[in-house]
Amino acid sequence: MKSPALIYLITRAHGLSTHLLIQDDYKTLIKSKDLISLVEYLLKSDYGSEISKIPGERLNVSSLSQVIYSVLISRFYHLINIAPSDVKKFLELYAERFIIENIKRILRAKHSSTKISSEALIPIPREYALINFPAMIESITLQDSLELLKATKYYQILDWLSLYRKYEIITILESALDKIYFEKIWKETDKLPDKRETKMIIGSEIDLRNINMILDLRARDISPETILSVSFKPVRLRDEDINQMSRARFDTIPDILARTPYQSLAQRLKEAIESKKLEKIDYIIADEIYNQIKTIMVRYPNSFSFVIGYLIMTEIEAHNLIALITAKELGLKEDEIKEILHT
Amino acid sequence: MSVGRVAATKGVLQRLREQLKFIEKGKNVLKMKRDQLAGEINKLLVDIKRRKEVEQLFSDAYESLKYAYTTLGYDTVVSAASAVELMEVRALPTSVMGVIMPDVEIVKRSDPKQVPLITLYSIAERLHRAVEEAIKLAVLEAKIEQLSRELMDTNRKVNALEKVVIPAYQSLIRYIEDRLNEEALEEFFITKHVRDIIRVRRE
Repeated sequence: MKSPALIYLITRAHGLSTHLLIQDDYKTLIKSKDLISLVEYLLKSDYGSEISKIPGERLNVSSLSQVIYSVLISRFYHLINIAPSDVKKFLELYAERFIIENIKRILRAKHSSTKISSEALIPIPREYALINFPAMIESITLQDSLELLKATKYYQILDWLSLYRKYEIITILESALDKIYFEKIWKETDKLPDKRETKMIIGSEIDLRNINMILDLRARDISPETILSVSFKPVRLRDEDINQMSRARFDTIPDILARTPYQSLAQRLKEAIESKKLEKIDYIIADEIYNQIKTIMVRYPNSFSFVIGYLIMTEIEAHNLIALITAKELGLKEDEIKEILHT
Repeated sequence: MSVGRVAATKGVLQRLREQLKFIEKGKNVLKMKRDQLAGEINKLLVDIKRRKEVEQLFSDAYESLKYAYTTLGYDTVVSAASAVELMEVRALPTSVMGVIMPDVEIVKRSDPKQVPLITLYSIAERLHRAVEEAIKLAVLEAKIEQLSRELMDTNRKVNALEKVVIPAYQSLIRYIEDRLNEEALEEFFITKHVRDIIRVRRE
């Protein structure tokens, strides 16, 4: 039996999901002749109030991306604020993906000793920013930045420092951060309502991110042992699948995937790898996440998984909009834009 | 070369002959330089055919980058790019046969492996290769340009020597030789005439 507070949250998620852009919106946006007409259309949406604050001369991909991120963040934290206490902690934990993304952005800059400012980070409300980002930005070396994570829930990242030093590539630390994040999330799913459906939705994301990470590290010839140490505990995949993928030659990973519940993904990945279009891998996996989540949301509209699904959809919408804006600025054709959106 | 300004004396003739010999030696040296420059250019021209390849490499990598830029978003691409250190190059001018030729040394290579996300990593690798190839090609093109300029100069000098300077010297020498011969002949006739007069008076 669901609590009234949880039913309210699911109902609100349904209500809020009607604010998301639909197929017709995307069609109109794709057809808009330039960035200005695209922005004019967005003025009628949730993005309107934030976009209208940008002066005309500052209207560009960077400023619009900031607006899209701020709307995304406000959507996430709005739902967290109205969530009942039994799921609030989980949702807060779920929203930490933005903190993880910000940590990654700072570590990337520190890795190459490049300057970074707070404008390069996703704007997270102060009360939810668990990390001292200004101090991390100010720190001189990557080691100093990591030291600042010692007193946080991401302290385990320091365990991967030796591996990072061995390979000298930032992807090791980024994968480790994802591992810490997803393992925390997965641990919490046991305490959630509608456990089966929620695990289904979270599990799909974990598996797909795992596949993405393995492909990424295999492409760089990272040793299987290292890959296994940063890979997450699989959900729908078996340990054996992860083990085999970590040891396989990069171009044979889709063949292993073809024997798992991710056959359709395997086919798309195989095509991309065979045609040497590796730049499509991240998109293909993001698209698979979108398709899986959409299916689960449609199948279980009254479960807590719908709330998670809504959050993932807001994130996908943000990516779609940034892609659209960038595509318009670069002058991509309508057909080309359709191919890069998750709709 | 003006003929009228030269005194037709044996001393001048000897000096002109020496100068002509020196000029012909110089012409031969310049001809050798010209042949060597042409050979160098021919050798480099084989590699210039790679231009199309490099352009294709760039064009493909930029198409992929455009795709990545749109699918991953501006922020992600900028952030990922910050993980990799910039390539550093140094210009090194070198002298070959007196021709200052540009050369570029890659002091520090960027490591595409540092770029996070498989999408960007794969593009970074291709772009990195394209940039390195473009640097090599730019150096090659600059070398060919310098060598061609030098070849043109040398050719002009050889032509000037062959078609203007040497023929002028030769005609000047010929003129002086003719004048000296004429003078010798005139002297011979005068001597003969004087001798004939003396002989007539004695008789």
